[in-house]
Amino acid sequence: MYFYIFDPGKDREVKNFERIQGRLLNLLAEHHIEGETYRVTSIRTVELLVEQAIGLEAKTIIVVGGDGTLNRAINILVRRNADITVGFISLDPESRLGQIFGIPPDVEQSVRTLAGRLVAQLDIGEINEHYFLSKVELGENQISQIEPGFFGLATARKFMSHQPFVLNLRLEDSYNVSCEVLAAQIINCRNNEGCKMKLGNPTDRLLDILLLNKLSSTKIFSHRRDLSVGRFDNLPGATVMHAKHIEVLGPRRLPLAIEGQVYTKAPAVVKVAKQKIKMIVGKGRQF
Amino acid sequence: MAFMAKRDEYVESSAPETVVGASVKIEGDLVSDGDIRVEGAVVGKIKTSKNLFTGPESQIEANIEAGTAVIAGLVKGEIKVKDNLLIQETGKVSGTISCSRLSIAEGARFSGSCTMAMPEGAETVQAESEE
Repeated sequence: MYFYIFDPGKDREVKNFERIQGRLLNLLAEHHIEGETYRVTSIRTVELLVEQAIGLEAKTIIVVGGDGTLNRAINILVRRNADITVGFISLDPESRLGQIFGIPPDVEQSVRTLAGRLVAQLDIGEINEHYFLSKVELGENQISQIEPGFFGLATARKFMSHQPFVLNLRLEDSYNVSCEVLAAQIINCRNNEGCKMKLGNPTDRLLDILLLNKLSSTKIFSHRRDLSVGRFDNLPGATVMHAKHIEVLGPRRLPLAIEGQVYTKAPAVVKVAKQKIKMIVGKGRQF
Repeated sequence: MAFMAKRDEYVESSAPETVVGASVKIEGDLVSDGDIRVEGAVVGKIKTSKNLFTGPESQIEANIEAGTAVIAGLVKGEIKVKDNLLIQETGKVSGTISCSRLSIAEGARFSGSCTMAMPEGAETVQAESEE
């Protein structure tokens, strides 16, 4: 049974959403993947709907909404250890997870991808009992929160004003890493478009650590486009490491954020979760 | 020319799997299944079955085990390389080396002893060097 969770989000115009929803329901019927549909409201949250799907013994949950909706749904599924396949229809044309999983921003193509039912078992990252698909950003310098602005000038200005900090990590309980960085990421999966290195394979049971060392203003300016999308590996002197288990030792109270939301502060442990998630992916996936 | 031909065999991987930047300091056992490039400092142990490259500014006080290795920085410790080991012009190695093939570029420094596995039927060759 397919269980659809429609999340119009906060800012979306209701009329526009209803138009998309109507078109989507027609397409689902056309591809014979219709099922029960529920809409997220302020009372009926994503979490409650996922619990309901588990109770109804749904085999597949399709999340229709943004990356945040998908992350919230996955958190409940992993916590409840539910054996349910997850599909995603992104209502955000800039959806990072949609790009990573090869799910086109077009509704019709997304439905075709779902109907194709190519299922991949994906790793998920864990940070203090919160689960994530994409990446954790360390420190105040969170790329996902910077609007690149005209020609990436706002990114350059922001990075020039950032203060570097000494990051201390312990990897695999085997070695300590110490480095003065401007920004740092722990990646489970990412969009590798335009990147020099292919990182963030969510099937390799590893998290990738990407450290951006202190840079001169000239280098920040010339690499502002890479900085604006977090492609640190394209910058000279970047550090790339891989581990299953990462202890963020310091600096103390360093924020660890997912999609701009701080989930915990250092010291903290980020690791590959024992559980995997079954996800419907497209041919154009990034791994 | 012959030396250049040898150098060409140590082709740097376009995308090394683990990259330790110049400002990074590692203490402990750095173990990887893929290529490792070190531009910073490592104290402890480095182990990979693939390629190891150490940059000119790198400072390593560690025992090294690798498939092949190109040393362009400072290394103090025991180096065990399964196949080829190249110490580049800027390389400074102090310790014991064990490898199948060894190349030392003009200008490189090596202080210690070297053991090389010979083809079957031949004896193992041992050499000692003092810079």
